Amino acid sequence: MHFSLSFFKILILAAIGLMAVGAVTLIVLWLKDLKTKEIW
Amino acid sequence: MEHHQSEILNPATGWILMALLSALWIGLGIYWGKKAKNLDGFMLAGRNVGLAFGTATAMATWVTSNTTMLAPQFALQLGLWGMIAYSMAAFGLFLFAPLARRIKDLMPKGYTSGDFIRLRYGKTAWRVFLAISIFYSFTWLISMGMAGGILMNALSGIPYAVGMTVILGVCITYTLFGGLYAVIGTDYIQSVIIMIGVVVVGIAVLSHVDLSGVYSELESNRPMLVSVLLPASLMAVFNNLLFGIGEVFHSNVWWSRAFAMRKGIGSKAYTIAGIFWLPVPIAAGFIALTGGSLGVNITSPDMVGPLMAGNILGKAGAVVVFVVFFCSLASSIDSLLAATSDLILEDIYKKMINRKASEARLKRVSTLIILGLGLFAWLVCLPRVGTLATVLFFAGPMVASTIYPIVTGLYWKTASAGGAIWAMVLGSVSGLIAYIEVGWYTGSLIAATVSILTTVLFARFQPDNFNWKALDESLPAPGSVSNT
Repeated sequence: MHFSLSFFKILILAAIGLMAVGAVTLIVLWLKDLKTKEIW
Repeated sequence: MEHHQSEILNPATGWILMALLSALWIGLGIYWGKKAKNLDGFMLAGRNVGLAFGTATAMATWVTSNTTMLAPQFALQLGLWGMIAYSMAAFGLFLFAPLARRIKDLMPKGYTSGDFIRLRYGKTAWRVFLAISIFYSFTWLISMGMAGGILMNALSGIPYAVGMTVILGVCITYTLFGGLYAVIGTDYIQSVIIMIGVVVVGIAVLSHVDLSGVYSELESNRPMLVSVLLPASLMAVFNNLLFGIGEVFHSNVWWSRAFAMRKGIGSKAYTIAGIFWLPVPIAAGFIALTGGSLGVNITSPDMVGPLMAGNILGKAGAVVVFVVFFCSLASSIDSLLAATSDLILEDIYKKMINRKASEARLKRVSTLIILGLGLFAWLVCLPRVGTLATVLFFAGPMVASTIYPIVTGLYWKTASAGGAIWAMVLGSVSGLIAYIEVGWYTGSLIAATVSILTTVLFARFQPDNFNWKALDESLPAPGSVSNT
């Protein structure tokens, strides 16, 4: 029994997409902390 | 010197990139280091780290060169399950999130994971724990130092000894100047670079290959890699899950961050870090699976990621890969240096050798410990022995045996010192036997199983009645601490 082609595609695209969201989230969190002076 | 497939970047570019990145991290380390006015600042970044830096430091530290080198190797050898297995290490971060809140609540003035074991279970358990934890820290540090040399050499032809020396030297320098402030500040930038870099390489690879074609090639030529039922891979999923949990739960790298984050931040930071770490091994690993459809011959499995990126993307891809690897190495080495030196300073020097040491004296000793750790790692890395995975995986059963003593110690009053000691000893021994006799993918699984049984049996039949206030050393010592 094999993983399906759609599972293979979704797994890889979701991983790359989630990492892109992660990069944006880190930047947004930093901007928020910067605004409220809560970085450190 | 071990032979690698030809480098993907010319040495001149490698030297320039290495010099620029080294200068950047040292400069930033010195800049942030100015905030460290006292020992709390140096060791724990003032205990007031916010959500952005807290999340990023957890993420970046957990993305090691092993993640970016071994995930493609896992994909190549164990297929889709291999990548998913590596992703399971994210559960170490997810599950540590509630523990981070509990740790901050119970030990607002704590310094190390060793502090917790000493106060919770007494000195014998503390010594067993320190032996496991320091052994693990050394193996991780050495595997990162070795990886640094091997990667710089394989990517750009920079001699192994030079690459290894530079990466260790840079991390030692900025950790010395800035302590945890420098480590966490640089971790933020490194984690953003790593995430953007992996996404850029992933998208570029996707634009060069057709996933349907890659899948068809795998299904016809290497069907095992897309098989749902591959016993070794399925075991690897659970083994990596437990190894990851054990690594995070016991290591002072993660405890020091829990202490360093502002109250109310730790749980959120570790959860977000886990969510965004989860896809890294898949995004970095799938590139290895495209080798067959592109006709690239793989002879060195742990270099498959960089090799494929270089082959597909040319010089620009190679530069991105070099920067991502440098960041993933630095973000882990600096954290290990800082957290391990804290553990040795607090648990060995301050608690065993000189209990009355002044803050100035402790700061001086901390500097010497960081230098000593760096020198030791450098000396061990120099002869270039062993392979990356085996060195670190050997510590897997040992750290997995600490999971339940830590979890039950944080939540159950009944968890006892005897249970913790025997769980760590029996778990480690049985796990190492399984590792040697059956396979690496069973070691952590067996160790954690033996550890949970021992911990629970002792808590049931020889229960302690622990007073949680004993964990806060800033309070007056209560009459009864534990049953040891």
